[in-house]
Amino acid sequence: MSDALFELVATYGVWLLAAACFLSCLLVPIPSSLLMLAGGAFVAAGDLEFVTVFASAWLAAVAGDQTGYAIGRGGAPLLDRLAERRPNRADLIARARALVARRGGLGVFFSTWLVAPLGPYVNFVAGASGLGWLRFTLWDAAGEAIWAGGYIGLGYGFADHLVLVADFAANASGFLVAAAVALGLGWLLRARLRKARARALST
Amino acid sequence: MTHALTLLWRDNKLLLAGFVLALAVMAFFAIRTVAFWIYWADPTHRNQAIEPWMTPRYVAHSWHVPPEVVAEALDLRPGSGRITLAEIAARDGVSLEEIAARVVAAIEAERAAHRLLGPGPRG
Repeated sequence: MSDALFELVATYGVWLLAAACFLSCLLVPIPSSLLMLAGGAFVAAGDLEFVTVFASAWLAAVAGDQTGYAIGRGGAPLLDRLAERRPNRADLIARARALVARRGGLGVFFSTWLVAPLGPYVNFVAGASGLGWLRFTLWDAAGEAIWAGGYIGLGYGFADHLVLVADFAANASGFLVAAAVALGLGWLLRARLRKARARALST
Repeated sequence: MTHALTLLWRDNKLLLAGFVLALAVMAFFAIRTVAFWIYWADPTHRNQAIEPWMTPRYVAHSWHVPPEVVAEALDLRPGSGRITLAEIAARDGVSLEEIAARVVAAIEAERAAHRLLGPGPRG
């Protein structure tokens, strides 16, 4: 499968890379990380230019995230209406918004590269919960620079072993996402357990 | 610990199941990563065979020879645009195996000329 992707990069170059990076920020399942690795390898071989490869991947990813943020922002009134209609949810929604306002910048930053598969969801949530545009954009652009630069650099450095690096990166990325989900659920479980114990003690 | 698990299972079945699933997926990817590592640590698995998606310059980079060597073997003008071996094979109406054989022969001749005889790309 990765061979077909590498061939696409060799044939269509930076335009393909830009389209893939843009769409993968909007939940379209495209393995843009593999395409960036291939882009980096072709830079090492002299078939592509580093500046254009990096710029196309980075700018397209930032544009994709902006689109996701705008979609989320468009959906914000829906969230308000939900909060109005169900007062018991209103508290939860207000708490979620406060959390995003307090920690959202960092969440956006790490969701662009460390746990990139979660990125599209974070963009929607950031837009819907009213994280400031400038803050979103600055953290997002910084994170996407790490994402694009990291994969392209890895492809450049290990150009002779592109297939090895592609396998390795896919596994590492899967591991990190599973770890992030386990961490989040574990944190929730711990909070629930504490509450249950407090209730058990009080009765 | 056992008590905590019973308590959680009673009230938060779905959450606990999701947590265990996430841990299992984590273990799956960790084992796969280690398996790849062991596989690739064996130098005989490191040679990158010539594949249709590769460009002449990529092959030259991968096998550590100057790009002109591969370009000349395939009758390409120096400094010509990006093209894959699959495209060259289609253009010339020959099989990919023949293209690969031509490229490998040229690389070996180049290495012989520089007393750099070695089997395939460096590890």
